[in-house]
Amino acid sequence: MSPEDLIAVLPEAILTVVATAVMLLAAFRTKGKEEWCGFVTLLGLLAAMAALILQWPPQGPAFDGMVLADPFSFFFHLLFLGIAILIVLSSASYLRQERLAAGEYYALLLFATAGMGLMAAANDLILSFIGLEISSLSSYVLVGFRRRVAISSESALKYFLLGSFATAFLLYGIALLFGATGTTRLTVIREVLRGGLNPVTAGNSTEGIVGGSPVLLPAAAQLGGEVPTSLIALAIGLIFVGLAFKVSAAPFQVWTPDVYQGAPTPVTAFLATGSKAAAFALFLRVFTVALDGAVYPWPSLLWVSAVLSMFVGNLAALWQSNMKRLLAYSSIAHAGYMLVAFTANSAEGVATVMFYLVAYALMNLGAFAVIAHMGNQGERYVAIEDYAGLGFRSPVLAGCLSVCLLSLIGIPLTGGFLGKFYVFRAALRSDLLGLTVLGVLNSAIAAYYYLKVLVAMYMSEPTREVPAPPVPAAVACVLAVCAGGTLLLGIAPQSVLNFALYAAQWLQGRM
Amino acid sequence: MSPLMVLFALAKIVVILLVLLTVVAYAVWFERKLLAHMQCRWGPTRVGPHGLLQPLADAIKLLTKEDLTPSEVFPLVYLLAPFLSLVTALLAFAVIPFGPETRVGGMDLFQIADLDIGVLFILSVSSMGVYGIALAGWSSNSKYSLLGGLRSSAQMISYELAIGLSIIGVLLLTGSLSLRAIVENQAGAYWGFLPRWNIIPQFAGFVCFLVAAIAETNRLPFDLPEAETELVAGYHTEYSSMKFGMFFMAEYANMVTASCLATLLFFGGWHGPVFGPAILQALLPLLWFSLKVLFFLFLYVWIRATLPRFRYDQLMAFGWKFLVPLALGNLVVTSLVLAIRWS
Amino acid sequence: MYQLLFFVFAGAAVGFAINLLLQRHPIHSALSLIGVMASLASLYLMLGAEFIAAAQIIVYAGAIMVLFVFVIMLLNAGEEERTQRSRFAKYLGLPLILLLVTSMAAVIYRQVPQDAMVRFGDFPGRTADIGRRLFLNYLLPFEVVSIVILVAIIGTVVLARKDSETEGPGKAVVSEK
Repeated sequence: MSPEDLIAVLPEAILTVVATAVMLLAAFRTKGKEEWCGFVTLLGLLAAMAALILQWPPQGPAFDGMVLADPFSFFFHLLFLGIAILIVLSSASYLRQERLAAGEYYALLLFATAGMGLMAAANDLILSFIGLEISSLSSYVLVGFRRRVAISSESALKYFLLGSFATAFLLYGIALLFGATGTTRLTVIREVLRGGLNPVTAGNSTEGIVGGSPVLLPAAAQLGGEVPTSLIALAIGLIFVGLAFKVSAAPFQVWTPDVYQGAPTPVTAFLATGSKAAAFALFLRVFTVALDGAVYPWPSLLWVSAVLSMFVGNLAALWQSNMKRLLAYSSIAHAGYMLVAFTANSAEGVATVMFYLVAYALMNLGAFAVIAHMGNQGERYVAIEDYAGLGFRSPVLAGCLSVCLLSLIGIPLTGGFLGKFYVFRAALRSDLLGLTVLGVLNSAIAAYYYLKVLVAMYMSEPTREVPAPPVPAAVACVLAVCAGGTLLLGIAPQSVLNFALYAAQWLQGRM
Repeated sequence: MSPLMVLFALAKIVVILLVLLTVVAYAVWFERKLLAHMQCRWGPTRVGPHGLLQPLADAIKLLTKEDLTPSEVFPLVYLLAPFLSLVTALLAFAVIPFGPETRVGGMDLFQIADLDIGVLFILSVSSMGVYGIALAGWSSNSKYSLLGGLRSSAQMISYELAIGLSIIGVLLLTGSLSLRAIVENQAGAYWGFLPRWNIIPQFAGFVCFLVAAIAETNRLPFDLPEAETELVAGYHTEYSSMKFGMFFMAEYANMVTASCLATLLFFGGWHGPVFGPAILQALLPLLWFSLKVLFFLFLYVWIRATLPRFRYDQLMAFGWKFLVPLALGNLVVTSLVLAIRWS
Repeated sequence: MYQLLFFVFAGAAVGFAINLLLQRHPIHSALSLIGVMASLASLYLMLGAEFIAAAQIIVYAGAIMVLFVFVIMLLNAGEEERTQRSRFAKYLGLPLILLLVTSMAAVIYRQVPQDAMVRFGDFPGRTADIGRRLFLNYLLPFEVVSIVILVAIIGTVVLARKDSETEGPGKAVVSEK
């Protein structure tokens, strides 16, 4: 293990160590441990960010190609760590108000972030899978963190059962891919499938073989170098099921509303932004690096899923009266938009997904921060009608929520608008006219339910007494970052977009 | 594989099985007699000289007693449990080498199969042994049985961990999972007189193994699953005649296995002074092996006669808070020493 | 000989798996699952993968399933009550499963060459080789798995521990929905 190897996983290592430290801190400190745990967690996240700088300029593969610290992983690490910092800031007051165990909460959050980092950096399906498991297991527990609340436990159980099932599909797909190519390393799978690498020697140069000679010859080798296309198509289908579940794309979205509603609001925000982004990172890396979209028909699979997600998400959201459920359906729809860009199967499409994830994270984190604050003890005020007249009672809070909602609709001058614009541009450039038309149609439908909230905030009389506690400094900070960031992305998207393009091209360079 | 070899292998299995069952039967006599003398009693004296035919009488008694099946049991599982217990207990002997490799016509005399993973095989078989007890307790549909079954499964899972961890030290020293290789690694002597048995470098591991093995076989002072003062007879309360006998045999077979394992892993197996004519040289290792096993059987009885029973929470705390950390510490120290020596 | 044994154990694995779904009593289901594990271990053993077979028995049959059985016994779970299953599951579930299985079987049957698919007892990896691979080539995943386990432990403790004074609202809060 060389120093380069260590640097490639240093952020994850720091996160893990800090997570353990936070737990110990919670165990041994009696007074003021919530504040201390939050503080140490923040420090750990910042330290991980600092460690990320050591990965620049991008280096070659680490751990024999197990991990790639490339710009793609750098981009996603920054995103995950940023999301985690904002979540920690908006969790502190929530934890105090709900009296939840802060030590374990922050520790699980850090572990989840480490797992997500591995998902983005892994070049080996085994490591990707383990990263996915770390982040999923942490999320299952975080979702059920309000143990005494029935719907929280219910949603955790639902998430756990369906999530394990989806993971099994993913694993089955990985196994079939391994059986066909004799390796789990993405870049090597690519070479084998291209026919540029004899599977047997590929196996010898990498993994899949124990003790020098091949155990079971991969199917590709037994067919004399011919690629077993339908076996791989089956593998793609199974992997797609597993990952589509994680990004909550239709038809694997049924868990989303229940889980988003039952989870503690900051955790919901984390699921909607962090988990989704990590799943997309894995999605992008597996499909663009290992499996050539021009040869294997996954873009058409994504096409169907994108259309379904947009329609299911947007149409179902029209009937929601609970803010968290509303945003859950909106999250399904947004997964659909991102899949549209992904369907384009180009460097630009990949970069667009990455840009969209940043914009989506900012606006969603802002919206959920407001919901968490407004919810009050026991999340009592989460119906849309509770937001009636918010614009007059607390104009700043309402203002921030409005910016986020406008961005979710896709009004110009916000990050959401540019995200959608780039999505449809990427789709059009890949001649996906039908998909683009359906996407634009959906954006129009979506405007209705976001506007419903805006109308309630500024044009309705409150129907019941809703307390308006003062906004804590940390939450104010989150709101400022989210609203400001959303606007900034809408006005000056170049730096983020260019970096995403650079990362996407680096990823495609591995094609 | 020629038919002759298959026949030979079968004959070997039958002989080892017969010897083993005899040993198990006489382990009972040995224990009763020894325990009695330690408590200033006579023990069995009626059947044969010194009660030597007592095991035979017991066997006849168990076989001819009426086989009662309580009415509310779960029949299939109730029947399955004693068989499971006995089979897993006997299966472990498939990999135990009783003497050095002695080949007659290409077949090894003193071992049924020298598996590459002998130690793991024994661990896996013994881990399956829990089911016999747990299922017996559950299917009997009686509160004493259920409590006994629950206690035993919790106890066996907990101490299995300690056993596994304590063995790893030996495996590190040997670099093999084959029991034969482990014994052969203990040949010779330190400084010409001290036998190179694993107990010397692995004393902590040995202590841990011994204690955990006693708990794993549900023997005093860890026999809570069948503590007669509170649970009547624990998991086999509702069993009678030969089904009860099978549990009984399984318990003693497990004791013999544990003694064999302790001998093989820590006491140099069949190693000992070898001298005399060729035939004696071939048989002496068997003798040393048997004596060492006998020593451990004696230890079992000795401990039973000496120590009172643990309380259940003490048992769990002892396993998790003392034995497991001890085994882990032993593992860390052993690997550090080996790493330093290799580098 | 090997093929006969293969069909015996493979058949047993499938049979136990189906029985697991059909049984109504949790203990019987758990026992079926142990049967599945044991059959799989036998298949591994036939391939010559001794270490994996032993690990399968020790970890799954010997540790995980014992805990399952233990919990079922502890909770004294009775026969499960069958609710009216959803029509979706009733009419679509089984055909879809059959479709998936047959399509998978068809693909594998067509794509993987018939001769010399599996060579029994040919797995050349001795335990030492597996260890070497695990600690050299797969060091990172091996170490990272410990985080998975740590997270699982923390999660269990968090969700299952008793209430303390510092945590949780004084009275149980039941959400409106």
